[in-house]
Amino acid sequence: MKAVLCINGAAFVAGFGFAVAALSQAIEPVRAPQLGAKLDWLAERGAEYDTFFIGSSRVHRQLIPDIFDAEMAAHGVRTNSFNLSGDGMRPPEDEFVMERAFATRTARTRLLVVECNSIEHMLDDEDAGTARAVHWHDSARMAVLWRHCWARPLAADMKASRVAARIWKRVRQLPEHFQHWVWNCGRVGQASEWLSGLVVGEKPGEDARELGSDGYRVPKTGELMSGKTLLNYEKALAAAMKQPPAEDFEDSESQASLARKKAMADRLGARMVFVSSPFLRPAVFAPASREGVVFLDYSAPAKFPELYAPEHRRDPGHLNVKGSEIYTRLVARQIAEALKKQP
Amino acid sequence: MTFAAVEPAKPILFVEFRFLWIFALIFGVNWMLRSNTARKVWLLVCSHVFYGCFFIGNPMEFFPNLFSGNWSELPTGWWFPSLLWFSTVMDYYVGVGIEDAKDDRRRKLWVFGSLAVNLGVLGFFKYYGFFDQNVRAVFAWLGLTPSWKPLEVFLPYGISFYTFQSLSYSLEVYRKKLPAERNFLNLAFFIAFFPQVVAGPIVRAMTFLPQTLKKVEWSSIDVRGCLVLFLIGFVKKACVGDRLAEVSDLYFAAPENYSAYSAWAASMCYAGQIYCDFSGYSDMAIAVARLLGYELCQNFAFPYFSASITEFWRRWHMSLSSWLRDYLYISLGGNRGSKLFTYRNLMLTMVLGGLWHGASWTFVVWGAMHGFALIVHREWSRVTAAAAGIAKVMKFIAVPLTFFWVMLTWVPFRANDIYIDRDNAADNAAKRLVRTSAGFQDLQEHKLVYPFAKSVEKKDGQTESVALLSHDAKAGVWKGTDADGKPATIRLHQTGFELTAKVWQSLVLFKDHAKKNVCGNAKWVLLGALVLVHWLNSRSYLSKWWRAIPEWLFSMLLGAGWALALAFKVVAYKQFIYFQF
Repeated sequence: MKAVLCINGAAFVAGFGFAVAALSQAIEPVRAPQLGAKLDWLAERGAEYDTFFIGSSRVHRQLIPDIFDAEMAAHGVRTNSFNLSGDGMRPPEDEFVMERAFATRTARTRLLVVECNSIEHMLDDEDAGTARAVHWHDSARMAVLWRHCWARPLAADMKASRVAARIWKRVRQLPEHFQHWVWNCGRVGQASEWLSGLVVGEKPGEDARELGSDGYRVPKTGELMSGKTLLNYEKALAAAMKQPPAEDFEDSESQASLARKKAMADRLGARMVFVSSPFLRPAVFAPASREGVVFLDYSAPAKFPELYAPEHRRDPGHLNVKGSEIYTRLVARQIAEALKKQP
Repeated sequence: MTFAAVEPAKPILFVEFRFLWIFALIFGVNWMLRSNTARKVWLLVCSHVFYGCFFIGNPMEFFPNLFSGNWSELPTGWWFPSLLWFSTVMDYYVGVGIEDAKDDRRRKLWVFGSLAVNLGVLGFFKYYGFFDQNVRAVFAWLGLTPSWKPLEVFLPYGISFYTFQSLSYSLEVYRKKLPAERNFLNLAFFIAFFPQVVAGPIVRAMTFLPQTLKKVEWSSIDVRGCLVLFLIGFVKKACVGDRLAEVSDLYFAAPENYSAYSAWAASMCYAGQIYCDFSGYSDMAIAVARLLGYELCQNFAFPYFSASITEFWRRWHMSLSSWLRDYLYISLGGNRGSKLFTYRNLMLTMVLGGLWHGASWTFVVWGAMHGFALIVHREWSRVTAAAAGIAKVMKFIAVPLTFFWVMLTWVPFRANDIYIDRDNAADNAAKRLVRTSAGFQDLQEHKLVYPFAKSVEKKDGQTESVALLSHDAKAGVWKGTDADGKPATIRLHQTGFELTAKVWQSLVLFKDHAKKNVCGNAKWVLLGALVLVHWLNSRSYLSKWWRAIPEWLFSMLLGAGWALALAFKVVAYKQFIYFQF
């Protein structure tokens, strides 16, 4: 009975595996709605841009290419920037997007401005099972996630129980990532998309033009913090003003991810800029090695009070439009200064 | 007006990957247990947890909120699973009461009590809004203003299905076709069994309760048949139904923008979608139940190949149509009377069947059209019984004619009142909205874009529900903001009946409302291929060969089949249509 079950199970896996392998050769990879449009746009017009912003909504909705280029020009540096970010995009997804965008790039690249984030294992509830979560689950990213489960923590005083808890938290996410990897290999929904193209024709979708040709997405307007959210924020801000967040190097794999991005910038001949976005947290993830990179850290409210002023914030984690404009100018100014110091 | 600020939780679908893990656990433990009672207890617990998950959402958020008293953060309708218990407990006592009653009068009292309470609960949740809306319309017509405030009532998932299922038990005990079930576990298990609790098939007590008495052996399970049936159900729903929905959603959101060709294409797609969606769900439910050792009744038998509307109702949603026949049509007197009396019963049954689907006049029209067609078919059969020539002609046109009529009836069934946001009409003129119990939902993206209310934190840490939209009865619009504070004025663009009329004009009179086509000609090739596969299956050409091949080959092909199904499925699932009923 057990032997029959094993044979049948193995035959099922073999049949599934062969079919998946054949499909992955025959069909285009899964395309994420917003990021896919940006990648398509860059494939067509990428040579027009020389500066790229990569990160989560804290870059997607907070770094405004027009303002950035104008501020850089005011400091004597000509740039044409593109916001290649997506809401919730963190490592290792950002590495995947960078690889896709720059794999065959030969045009001049001046700057890669990348949000400095550690590897994230949890998928957003909203994204799980969608093309957005599936598209980046390739074998290279699965290897990153796997290594990250067992990665050496870089904090010297971490207790064994905390290390074990961290490992468990990451390992228990693996089945979900495995599902997304299988779906990606099997090109989930792609044959259906092809059929749909035949049937319905081109669908009214969200292409890069709708996002603005610079990839920037305006934050939600009319939102200011209120009630208990504001009260809690003000309390946390007061505490953070006194005690800035400590630097945290997280683990070896998150640092390796930064190193790979730096290597990519080197290959493109671009200057690597890591940015730590402005929001309150007890510790800030930072690159352990800063050789050849510019690291801009906006995590200390005492240093950048205007970025933390409640009237410039949509919520504790994000700036509103006014705050984003201030932030973009500040980032541009600091990059221009850094380039002057180390051309 | 009171509105709930938190959206109802999202149900677990059989087509989701997480269901695979959940089912693996249920299945594994079920077959590891030796005693029949232990298995039933396990499945009963799983059924209630499964059903409960439809309402409570994420347990990691639900239970902390529940125990910390932060009830305003709980999903709307989180307490609805208690209705299932209420129905079970009540029917248990009703069954025993009927059997123990000393005279007919008391037996009648018990059964009427069961009918009143079961239908009362169903009626309140399903029809309160409809009733209130119509009474208000009558008041407005008389120039009066009602003094009571409207309630926003959410419909619990599956209430129509399990109410009918539990009623079948009381009615069968009353009719002495079934002894009262004195084992509470068996009855509770029958009513709550998770594969069918949300969207059927509506299982009869007479067919299910006897199955709870005997222990099923694993060797008696047709595993191969179950796995194939589940895969077929998955393909119907996730690959075909959800894809066809793309065309019908596009068209039915704005039929005035499309041609007559589009009306035909979209209506056929909707006919295909609703069949694939519902029969796919039924197939998966039947397969899941069989894998656990229980047999559910068949719900569909290739209904679109029916040669008459009478035959269609013998093949479509068979568990509901037979329920309506046995408990409503026959109770009304059936055909034991004059011709007019029979036709009245037919019409009443179908209209009430229409209302069972949803509280809207469009469903009444749908039911009435079917009632009308059943009457016409009866008369036609009687008149042409002796004419052999007509029978020959009908042989060729009966199936397409029946399908055409069914397709026409799907139009009011599908038609919604369509709203648009006047403030934002310029920048998204194509955006059409449909009203749900939680707010206005985008017809294309199926997302709630204008919730009626949202929860806001107060200074003291408590949350309160703040209305975002209010109804201006004089102007006939909803005014307020979207969830991000952007102003919105939502008005009715066209009623379901206006929409129905437009589609019918295109279908019957070939009227082009515009020149645009909703899809290209390639669709007909694909639809043709689907119909061919369906026809071959109806003739059993596709249902035997896989039983004859060796097990390892079957497993291998099943694996390859799943890989293909994943490639052809729509990435983001749509909710099952019948969950809303």
